[in-house]
Amino acid sequence: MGRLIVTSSVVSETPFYMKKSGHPLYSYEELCYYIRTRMGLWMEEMTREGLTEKMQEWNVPVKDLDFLSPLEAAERIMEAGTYFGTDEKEQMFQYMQEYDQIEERFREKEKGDLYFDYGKSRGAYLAYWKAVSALQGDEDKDFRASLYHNMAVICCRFFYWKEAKNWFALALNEKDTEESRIGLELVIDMEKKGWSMDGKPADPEKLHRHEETFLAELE
Amino acid sequence: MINSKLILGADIRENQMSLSCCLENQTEIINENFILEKYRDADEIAGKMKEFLNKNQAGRKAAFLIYSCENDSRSQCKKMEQCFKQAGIGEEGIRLISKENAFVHYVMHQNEELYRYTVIAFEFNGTELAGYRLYSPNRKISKERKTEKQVIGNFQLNGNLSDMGNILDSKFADVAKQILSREVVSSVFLTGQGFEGGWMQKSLKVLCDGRRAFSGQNLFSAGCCYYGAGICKEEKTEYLIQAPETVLYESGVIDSGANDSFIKITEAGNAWYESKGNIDVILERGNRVDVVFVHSHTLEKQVESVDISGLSARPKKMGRLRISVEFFDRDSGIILVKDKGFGAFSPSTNQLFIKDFKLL
Repeated sequence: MGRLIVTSSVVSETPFYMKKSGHPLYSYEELCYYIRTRMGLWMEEMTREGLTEKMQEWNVPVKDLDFLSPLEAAERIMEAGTYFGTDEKEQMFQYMQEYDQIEERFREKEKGDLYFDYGKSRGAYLAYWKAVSALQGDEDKDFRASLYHNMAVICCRFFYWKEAKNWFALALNEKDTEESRIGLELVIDMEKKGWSMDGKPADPEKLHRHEETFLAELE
Repeated sequence: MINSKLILGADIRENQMSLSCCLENQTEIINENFILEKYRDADEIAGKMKEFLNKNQAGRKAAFLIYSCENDSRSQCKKMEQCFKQAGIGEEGIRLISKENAFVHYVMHQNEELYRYTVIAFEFNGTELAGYRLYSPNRKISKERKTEKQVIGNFQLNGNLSDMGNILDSKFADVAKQILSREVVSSVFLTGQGFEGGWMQKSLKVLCDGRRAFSGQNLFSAGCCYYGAGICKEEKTEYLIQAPETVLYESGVIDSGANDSFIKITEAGNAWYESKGNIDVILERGNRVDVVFVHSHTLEKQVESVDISGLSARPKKMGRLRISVEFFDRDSGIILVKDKGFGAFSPSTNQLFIKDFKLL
């Protein structure tokens, strides 16, 4: 037998955009699903301007979400509808309360992955960097390999080839995967071509400027 | 007074039409009968309706039109309804109800003593005699009323009414005696042109024996008016009325988000052609949608499952479905389940799953 949750919420014509990920949300249920599956990003959202009005439009009225902490706002949102069952709500509250106690390396890696999926390279780079800084050496090899590989891909997105080469090499050192090998080969190939896509020698000044912009953005 | 809506009731027959009108918050009903020159010509009917409203309501527009029209298909009635709407009649709603239903609504708006037991109505158009019976089918459920129509037979007169009146009177008295002796009958209603002409002598004695009898030409059109007033007032009758078009089951789903409570999609007691509804759900798990039909009085349940295993796979609680229920007649219909997607997480595939159902 299928289990169903009846909803009287309305699907809006225009979405509410989550600031950190840029994800468009058209209904209350999508918001709940977002909170459940993208906790790392939700906890980063410091303000939610316009969400209270949007909830009204979705026919799930709640009061003043704008300046509550992510945890308080999530609690209020979950209580407003029937998307989460009682047990599920308790589990969620507990998970959210303990979220800050999750070790930084794991928490930041998860956050970085979420940013990575949304194509938010800058957020991903910062989160991965924090995760790398917090590594203790006793992590699972797969975890480290995945972290280094993703870091390398992010560096590629910024044309930060030298960094990318190092990260791919580190990833391969942890675990020999086809993706990392292809990535490393690509970067080496780029290096041979003088770091330009068309084989022509790249303008070192331009590359330098690019790196400077990237670093300035991170700061 | 100005804000109260005007309701027009019509009983459309082959060559005759009865019209009644009332205001939603008043019990006074104005009646009139019209001869139709053409066979159910929508323009002619709409014209007569406007004429009636001009004369009795200073040309005020009827917000609701409730009508009964036997022997015509739904599609023919729909065409007529379009014509009525174009003429500005029934802008807020037009509904077709059966004569049985109109009869019930007329009777149920009289004093309760008139329908304490069975109520019989005879309709005689000069050739055919039909009987309507309103009774309680279940002694345990005192608030349940069932109505049925039966064609009693051909009562055509072959000659002068003054000569044949006695024969007709005796014949009708015998039939009435036979019908009325079967059970306790609180009241009798007579309608139709066939009863005019003053031929009833013996039969009147039979009809009025221990009960009250009424005669008039607007039984059905006035019943339509009462039905319309009920819609305006969103009146909930305490009686369960079983007319031929009435759906006795309510449909719904079990909501796991509200402690497995039953959430209605369609209500019982409405005509099957008006009994449609939909509901949005989030699929928690499983690959089928169960719609539960519950009999409004016996509470007997029937579950109809729609297989949605063809729906593209997605994580738990990530999918919005719209479940619609529609009826083809009072006992059967269709369940439609449509994938509404889940925003940017999973765009709608617009997949549609269909299941016929037959209520036992």
